[in-house]
Amino acid sequence: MENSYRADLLRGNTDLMLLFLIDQMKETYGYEIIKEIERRSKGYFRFKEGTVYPALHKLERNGLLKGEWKKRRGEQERRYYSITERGREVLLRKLGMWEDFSRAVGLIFGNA
Amino acid sequence: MNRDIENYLKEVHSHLHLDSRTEKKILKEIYTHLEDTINENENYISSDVSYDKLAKRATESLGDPREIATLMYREHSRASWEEVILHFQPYLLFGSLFGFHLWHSFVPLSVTFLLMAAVTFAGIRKGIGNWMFSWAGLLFGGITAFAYLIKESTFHEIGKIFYSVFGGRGYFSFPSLIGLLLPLVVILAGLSIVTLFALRLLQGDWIPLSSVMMPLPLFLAWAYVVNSRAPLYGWLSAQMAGIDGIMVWVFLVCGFLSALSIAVGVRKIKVLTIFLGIFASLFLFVLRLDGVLNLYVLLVLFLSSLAIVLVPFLLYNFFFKRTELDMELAELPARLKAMI
Repeated sequence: MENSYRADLLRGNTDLMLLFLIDQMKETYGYEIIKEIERRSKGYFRFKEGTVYPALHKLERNGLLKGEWKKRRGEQERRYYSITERGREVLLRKLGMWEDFSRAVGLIFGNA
Repeated sequence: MNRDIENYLKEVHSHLHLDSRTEKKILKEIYTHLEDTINENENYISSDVSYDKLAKRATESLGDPREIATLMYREHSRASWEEVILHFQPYLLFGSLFGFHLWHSFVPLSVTFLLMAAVTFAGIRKGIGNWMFSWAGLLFGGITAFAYLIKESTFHEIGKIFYSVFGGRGYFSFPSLIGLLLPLVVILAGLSIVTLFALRLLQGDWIPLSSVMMPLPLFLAWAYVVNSRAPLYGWLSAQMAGIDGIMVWVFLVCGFLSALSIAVGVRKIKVLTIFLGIFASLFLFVLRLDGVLNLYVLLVLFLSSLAIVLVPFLLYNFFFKRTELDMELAELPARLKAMI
């Protein structure tokens, strides 16, 4: 019950988190994103790593991310993702909605 | 190469059902993720942990390969709204041809077929998009129907030429030869292009071929009705114009359900929508034609719809399904090359 509630919350906000992190990290790849989410959430968000890739592909197909295969010196070739202009617009809009939502929830719980 | 990684990639691959270019990109990305996980764990875990154990842990933390493949299929097989609109266009085009009674005029019909052949050919050369299924499908259905309609005059012309050459009778004329060859070239060229298109599709999956074949039963039913009733009513009679009117609605229904089948990303729903599209358009055609539907007719409609789903399924599973990773080695990392 607790786990499914947490999964629902995560599922509803995966796109927002991915767009936010990729915008901050400028150019990054799937594995790095997963580790960054775990690090920033102090291990709270631990999900099946493989589900991140379909989410990244969805954002790319919707034109919010741009994916490119690149090989950096001394490293293996990886698919790097960066945010597009459209992606940034969507991120700002979603962030605004998220702030309004969390403020409203805070008001209900009386800790605003 | 490690057996766990190999099996994991094979399992993802067997459930992807996408074109080979997209499949390669996905598998390569998953592989690099596994490599990253193993490399990082090698740095943190004591050296007595073997590579095989690290590889097993990496595949486990990536999750169920079938689930990843299903999610990837959902994302990559689902058409955007622009693709859905493009997919619907040839149905509108054919609907207009019938609505304005232009299908028996040479120029509009030829332009329509040429346009569809060009799009289908471009798909073979530059990569097939979801929206192209209907263009190839209506080219296939249309050409097959018109080949059926002109079969008698074609055989008649062949007979005349045969007699003039072998019987010494003076029937042969150059215009009649052109009149015979031109449709034959158009039919053969069109069917060849669609066959190449279908073969390309079957390299990845069978559902797209079902989508391509969707309009075929409809065209055949229409050609059969026209062939049997035109001599009775007359080509330009009100009854024949009425059949054109029915076809407009039938194309709209078939086109809508066909477009819906590429808009969804769940395989079962895709198949169901394709089946319903064929059945509903045939049902509508027969119902509006004579207003009589008995159990026998319904059974024929059901079996025709089922055949369009089953034939590509059987073709793919018996002749085209790949169980091994047969990707172009040059595009994959060195370790993956060694694996295959």
